[in-house]
Amino acid sequence: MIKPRQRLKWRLSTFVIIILLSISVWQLATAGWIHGKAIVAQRLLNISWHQTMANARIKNAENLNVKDKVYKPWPWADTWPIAKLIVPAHNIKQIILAGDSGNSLAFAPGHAFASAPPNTHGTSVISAHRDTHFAFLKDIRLGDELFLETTDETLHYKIYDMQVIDSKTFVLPLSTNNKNLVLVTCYPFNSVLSTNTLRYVVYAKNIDR
Amino acid sequence: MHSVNTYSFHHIVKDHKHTNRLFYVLKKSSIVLSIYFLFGLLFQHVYANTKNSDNIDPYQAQHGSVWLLANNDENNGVYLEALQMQTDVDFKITGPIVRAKIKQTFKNTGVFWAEGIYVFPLPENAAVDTFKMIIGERHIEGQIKENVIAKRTYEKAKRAGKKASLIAQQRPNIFTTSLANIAPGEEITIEFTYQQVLSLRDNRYRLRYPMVIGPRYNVSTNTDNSTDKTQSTHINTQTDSKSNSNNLTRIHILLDAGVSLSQLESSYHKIHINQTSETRYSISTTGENIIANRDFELVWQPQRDDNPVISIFNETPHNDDSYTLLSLLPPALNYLEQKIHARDIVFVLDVSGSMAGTSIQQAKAALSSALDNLRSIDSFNIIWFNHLSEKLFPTTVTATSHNKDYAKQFIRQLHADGGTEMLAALKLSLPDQQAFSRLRQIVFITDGNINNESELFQLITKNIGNSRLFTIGIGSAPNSYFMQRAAEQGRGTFTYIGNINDVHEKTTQLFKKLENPALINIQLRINNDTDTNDQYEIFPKNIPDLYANEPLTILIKGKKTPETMTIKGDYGNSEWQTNVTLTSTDSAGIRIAWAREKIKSLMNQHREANNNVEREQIKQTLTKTALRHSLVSQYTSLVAVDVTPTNTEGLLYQEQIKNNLPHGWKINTSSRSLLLAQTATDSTLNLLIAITFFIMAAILFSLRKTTYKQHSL
Repeated sequence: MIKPRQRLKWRLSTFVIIILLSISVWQLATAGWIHGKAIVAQRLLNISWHQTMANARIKNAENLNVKDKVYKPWPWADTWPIAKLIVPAHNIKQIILAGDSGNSLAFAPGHAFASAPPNTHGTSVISAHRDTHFAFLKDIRLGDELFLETTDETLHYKIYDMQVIDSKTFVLPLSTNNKNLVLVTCYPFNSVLSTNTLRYVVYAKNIDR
Repeated sequence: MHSVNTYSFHHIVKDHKHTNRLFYVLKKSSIVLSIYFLFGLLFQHVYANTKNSDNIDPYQAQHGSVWLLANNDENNGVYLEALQMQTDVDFKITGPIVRAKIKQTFKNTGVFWAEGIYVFPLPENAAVDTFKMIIGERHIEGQIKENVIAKRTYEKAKRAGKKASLIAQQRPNIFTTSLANIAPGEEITIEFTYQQVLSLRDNRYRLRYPMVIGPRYNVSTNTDNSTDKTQSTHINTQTDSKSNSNNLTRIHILLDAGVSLSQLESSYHKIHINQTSETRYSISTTGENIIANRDFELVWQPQRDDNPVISIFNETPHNDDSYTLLSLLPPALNYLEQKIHARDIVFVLDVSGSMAGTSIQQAKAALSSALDNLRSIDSFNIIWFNHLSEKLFPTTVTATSHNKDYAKQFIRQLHADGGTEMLAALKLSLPDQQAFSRLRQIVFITDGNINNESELFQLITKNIGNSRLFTIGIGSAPNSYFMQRAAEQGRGTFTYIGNINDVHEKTTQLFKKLENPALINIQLRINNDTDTNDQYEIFPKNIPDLYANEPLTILIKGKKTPETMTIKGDYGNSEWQTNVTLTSTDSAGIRIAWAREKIKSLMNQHREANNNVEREQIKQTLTKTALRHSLVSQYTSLVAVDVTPTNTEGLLYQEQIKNNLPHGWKINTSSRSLLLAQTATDSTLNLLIAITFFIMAAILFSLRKTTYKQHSL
């Protein structure tokens, strides 16, 4: 026989199990959402990047010196694609967004406005999340080659240094003479906390003639 | 939750077959666990191809030196530290115009011929105009040349063993002097003059002579889009973290304030003051030298009247146009407070996703305190926007406490989300073809993710009418340039807030200023001519309003010397007008002040140019203007070369004079100018929490089953 007290405990534990399960599902969905957004956004961005490039080809053919037209990946976006990062050794093709606010980084790697625009003399800084787009950085090796497709031309880079730094005290050396590329993501890669101040910085220099 | 668990375990322990049951539970949870880990693995390796990688050793990556960066590899490690430097500074101040003469003396204490390079800051709006090199008794005048030519001239002279020196602008407030072929034991002086126009803040003039250059200047290069090859002469600063005696400085000042002063003091250094007449003073730093590790600041406060005070200065050089400076000093605040303007104020707040976090919190706090400060005669409205935009009230409402409370409550529930569509919000705040009888101020708060700037700018130009536009940029504000121009067009100001913690302080300052317009709708007439603008080139083009504690400076160029000027405006509820007559035409430095404004305006045009042809034309006009007024600009440098070669040894060591570390700075805690983005998400944490909670649920479920079975038996 089940005593009333026993029954109460039975119900109580059912209730607790449901709560635990819902928290679990909610957290799983959140994690899935972060990764899902990152994947789906790249697909949409690919479309607007194709439009941007098509427009740029016309512009370059007619030798017009006008700003590149901006194609937004979705109507309410407050960022737009500016380049495409290609890393053949790691099978990576990613569209780069303008700006590196948390907003843009959820969708794609972002280019810091304060750094040099791609394909200009100076250092361009691109950041992305260590657990989505830039997860591949942990496998990167000295001498690996990168390509950055911009509206003018495709630039060829070679990685010459990697460094772990504390973003609280670190000052990024920005060269003004060469076209340099710096990729930034959080370090360590498998850390659970997202508030970490350590960064993994990958330096690449342009090797086009 | 915890108690339930203990309860179940209690029963398990009591159970004789507890080992079997425990095994059962473990088996069940291990299945669950493996499913979850499969999920986790899947997510982790969607992006990185699942190559087995070693862990990265942080020390395998090289640590670069942070401050001591030389541009070319050959220069690394050859700093001999044989050069010493001494700086003498002479200021002559007339009204708001400051003319400064700087003498930098390089002394070579080493045994080799040396080249000295010194990177130094000058005030933000300083215009370097003359330059010479003094070797013993000989004075060699510097010549203004285009950057590339100046650099080439210098390099050629240097290689030929001639003494040469070059002064060039790195960025608007950073300059470099180079001096080649200093003989061992020799002393050479570089002398240059610059000028600036001071502005009154909090009823005080502040003369600031910067003597330190933050190590941060290593980084913030190339924030503008210029890819000009002529500018590739950038030199980084070197900071000496050990010694503080790199550049000893003496300062002397002659001040003619034009009005009586109620205060005169130096903020950080001891000075000696000698009053020579009612409005004139002679000031010098006491002791032999001061150490150049913190800025020098002289503060003086003019006595104020109950009406705006106009002063006029003119410079008419021979065979040249006439240059005039007009200065409007607002009345003291206590007089002003009796003459209040009723106004309509519209706040436009960006609530798009990029504002999320501290930005929106701070902006909301600032807006709330602005509402608190509204007076009962004012009216207000709030417009918020992301990809949508909406008004709080259909039209502006009176600032009653009821309305203010309602608005504050509304602000509290706003949160940042969605995209940015600024055009619609601007349209709401600047309705088409509408005249407003009262003073209308629009305060636009955004983090400035703008890409359709020309469209926005057209709308502002078309619809601004009589409204004033004040823009506030929060965070890294990528398009502060647009916001600056928009505010100029709207006769307002642009407030840039780089540090999110300053939002509250800076906006409060702005809102306080907006409360006290002294003279609005200012009109200027010269010589009673009907159309002033045709004959004279005036900066700023749209004359802004005069606010309490902030005088207005207007610079005018024309063929004829203006004899009288009429200034009209609204002072409180009445119209105010005054005539001023020109008394003398020999004030110094007004021509240069005007030329500087002209160059600034040309730089803006250069940026806005649509095509290369137009851009090249503007660049030529700019270079011409700079050469004509012999100003150092982004396209022009000053160079001085001695005629006879003196260094016949052919050996030359280059040395850069180090800058002292700013007072109170530690090398590791200095602020960086390029903030690295936050590059991690909580997805791993989310996944871990999900797993943990699922395991807890699974264990509880299994235990419950076992205990239930046991009891029902």
